[in-house]
Amino acid sequence: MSVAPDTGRRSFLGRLIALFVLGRLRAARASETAPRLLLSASQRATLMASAEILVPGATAAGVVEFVTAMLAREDPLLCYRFVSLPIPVVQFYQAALSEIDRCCRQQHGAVLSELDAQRQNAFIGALARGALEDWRGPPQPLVYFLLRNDAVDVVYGQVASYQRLQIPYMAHITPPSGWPPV
Amino acid sequence: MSETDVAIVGSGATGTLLAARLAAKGLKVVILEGGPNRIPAQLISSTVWSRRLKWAGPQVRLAGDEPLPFPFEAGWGRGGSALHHYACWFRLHREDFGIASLHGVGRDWPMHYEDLRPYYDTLQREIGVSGDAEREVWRPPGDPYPMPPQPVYRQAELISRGFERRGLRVAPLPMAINSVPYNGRPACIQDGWCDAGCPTGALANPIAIFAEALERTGVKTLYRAAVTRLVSDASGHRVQAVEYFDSHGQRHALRAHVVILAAFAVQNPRILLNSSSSQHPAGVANSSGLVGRCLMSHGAVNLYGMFDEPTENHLGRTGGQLFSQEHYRTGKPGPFEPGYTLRIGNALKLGDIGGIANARADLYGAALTDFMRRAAVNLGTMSALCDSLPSVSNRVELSSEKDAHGAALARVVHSFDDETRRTIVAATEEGKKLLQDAGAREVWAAPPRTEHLMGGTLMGTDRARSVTNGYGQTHDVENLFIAGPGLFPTSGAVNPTFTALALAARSADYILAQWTGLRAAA
Repeated sequence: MSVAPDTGRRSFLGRLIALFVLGRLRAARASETAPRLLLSASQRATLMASAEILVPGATAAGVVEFVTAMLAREDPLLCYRFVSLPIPVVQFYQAALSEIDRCCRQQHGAVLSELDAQRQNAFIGALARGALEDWRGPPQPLVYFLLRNDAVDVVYGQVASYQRLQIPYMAHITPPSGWPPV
Repeated sequence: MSETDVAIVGSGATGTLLAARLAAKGLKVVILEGGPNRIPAQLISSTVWSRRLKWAGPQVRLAGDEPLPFPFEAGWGRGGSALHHYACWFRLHREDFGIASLHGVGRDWPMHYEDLRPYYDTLQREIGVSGDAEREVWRPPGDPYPMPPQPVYRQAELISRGFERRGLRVAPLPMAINSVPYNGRPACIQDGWCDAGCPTGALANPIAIFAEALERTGVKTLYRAAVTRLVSDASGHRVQAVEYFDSHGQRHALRAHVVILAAFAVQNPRILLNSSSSQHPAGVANSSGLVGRCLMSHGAVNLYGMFDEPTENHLGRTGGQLFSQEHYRTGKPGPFEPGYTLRIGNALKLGDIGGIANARADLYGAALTDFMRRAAVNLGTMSALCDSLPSVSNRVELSSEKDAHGAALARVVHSFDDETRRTIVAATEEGKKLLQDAGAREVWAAPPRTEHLMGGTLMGTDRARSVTNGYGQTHDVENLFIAGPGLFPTSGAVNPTFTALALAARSADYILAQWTGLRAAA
């Protein structure tokens, strides 16, 4: 599936992020001293479903294990690192995944994994375009961008990914297998 | 309170070069590095694990129409951003030094190309640069490269056909990457892992080129030393000490005869602005009001073509294989007509921000799977790097948020002007045509982006319109120097690292020549 390329995406995203940040800053500050909570069972299920729709093979490649291991690190090596938001990364993922869940239930009366393939693709396509109505979470295109890149990391970022596509990996130093939270 | 001759903030390319140069002449040098130590054995070949090298210090708030990708551009730990840089070591063109005189826009540099040429020549010989000076018909006068050019693979050969058909010239990309063993460092094995840091030392990152010299000359580096401010003397004309916090949160002050800020184009202004006092109410070295102002980034765009033939896009270097400056500005006086450099044939990885999967960020599901299968074998790419003029509205300023030590975070505001946006569009259209002429079956461009950080602490001759002189010495504070691309008055349309290093080498000579005076005034 594809969505129409948007050459003004960066500036549009910037404004969306600014609006979202303003709204969440107070909550984020309040939670800075709270223990780092990881993802709930329903959030993990939504992560798995979203990632599999975005990048087929993400579940088998361990996307849930990857994201939860990274969220447990002091310095998560997710693409979230590059967006520099004043919201703790765990809180961002919780908010994004819970909102996908809520929004999907509201629109379809079911969670993402329960939809047929056509409706799953339509939902994710709308997320990419920022077209989901009554969305109350982080900016939709940003959620699409980050979840898609997490899934890409596990499906296309490992030595086995290159072997599958018959592309030489050519490591100087081979990465560890799996995603230890250290 | 400890004391040293020279305190350098930042262990990146320019900080380590200055440390090596000054310590070699017997000065006692301490480097304060905000991030952790790094050793080559940690430079894992992975698009995920390599993110450890990217910025993880105090957050930087990003704003504007084209926000700067600071966390991606900057480095975290020993080696700074140069530990993951692509080593495209271009020289600025002669005309880049006089944009204002030639075109009535932007600013002139406080020097001519001829002033910097000896430093380019010396550095390329000392460190090692590969290339073909004769084929670089756009290159200003300079010594030939000490190493032959890098190998060219199928991707660049295919794309260069498009240039040839249009009568446009290409040349091997000048790179601070060994094409043959040089100065005890091995030749590159062409695996495209430059962004993950090069553990073999073939790529001239600061660890590869300066670690031995720093150790031999007794330079001390303090890691996880978070510099928060500079402490001025009563006169305000000198900096007495650098205040920093160690990893246990303990505050320290390091006294120094000379202080050099080499912490990149955002953290340097942040430290200066956070150092306000009764002597410097607007921040240290900020009598011009220009600290943090005129931050620049190149306009950039990635261009893609899907070929019928295999492109071997996994081979080579991340920065590319060939380049063309047929669309660079000329030195002809008159209206400013921005130019650009096209870099051809970047080695690609499957994932990460600049990887194949994000060449079509709009694809997902089965369409992405199909695209990845084809692109891994048949994708070719090049990228345009466009001129960008300084604007005072593009800036580093202090946020109301504080870091763990109570120092205000940086907020960076950046938008392109219309001229730069038009140049990006022109480069995009030209690049797509060239790929079509090269025989690509499908051709497209990614959304425009920013690349590199420059400005924010401009150098110049007029103290009312600049922060430092041509040696990086601040106009207001005689023993305070700035290093790095933050000094650039204009951007040119080439990667900035080689020029930043040439300026730092020039600053080192100046500091050594002026040392008696700089120290005597203490």
